[in-house]
Amino acid sequence: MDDLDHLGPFAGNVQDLALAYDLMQGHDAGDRACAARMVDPVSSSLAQGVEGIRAGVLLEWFEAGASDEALAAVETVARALGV
Amino acid sequence: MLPEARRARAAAFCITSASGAQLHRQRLHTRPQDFDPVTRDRFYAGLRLPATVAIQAQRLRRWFAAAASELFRHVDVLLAPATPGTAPLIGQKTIMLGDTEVSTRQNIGVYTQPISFIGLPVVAVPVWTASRLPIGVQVIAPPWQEGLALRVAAQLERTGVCTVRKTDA
Repeated sequence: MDDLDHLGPFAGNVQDLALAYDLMQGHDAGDRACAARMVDPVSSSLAQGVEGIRAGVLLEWFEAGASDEALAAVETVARALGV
Repeated sequence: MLPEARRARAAAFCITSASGAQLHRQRLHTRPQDFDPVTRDRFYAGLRLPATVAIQAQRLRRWFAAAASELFRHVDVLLAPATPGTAPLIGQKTIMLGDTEVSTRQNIGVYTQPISFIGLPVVAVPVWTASRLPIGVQVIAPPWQEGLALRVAAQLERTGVCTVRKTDA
């Protein structure tokens, strides 16, 4: 299902996740779903912070049916990012 | 606002169904007993999905991706719950979606499906709740901006907003 497949690594911290992402980057000529993009390592720039980054909260569909806990979790993250 | 998320999710179901059925077509004929029965039924349905529906779903997908791009002109990252509630128990057949009891399988991805549908990079960060289980919050970035989603997640981790911890709950 190259049309919809997603890689979803789990990690115990963000650094490990970023390292996994960096290792998975790179073009595979034998995989037609793989984009021919330059490798762009990100694991060394995690400490840059989020100064000036604008965050938005998806509403409507993405809040309808959500438990109070789920809404509170989104709210917690939104507040931390200055929304 | 990301419009028509409900339709996007429906379209994602159609494409998943058709693509999955296509991928397993031979095995569905030769080794049907090897499939999980519920998954097998979905593949059988996928085998019978009219091509026009799949094509229409791909059209909607392009439209929905463009709508998301428009949104990213105004914000850098988007936030949404990853699931309606905390993790279901193994084997739990239903979850609550608002006041309605619904199938776990069909609805656990209600907030992730429209996003993965258009290939946006997401980091799901754990936020701890009163019930001693975490809820994932999706940090969604524009196409190819995995680094941005990871940077935001790192900041949330550094500031203690999101942490991974072991639980015996």
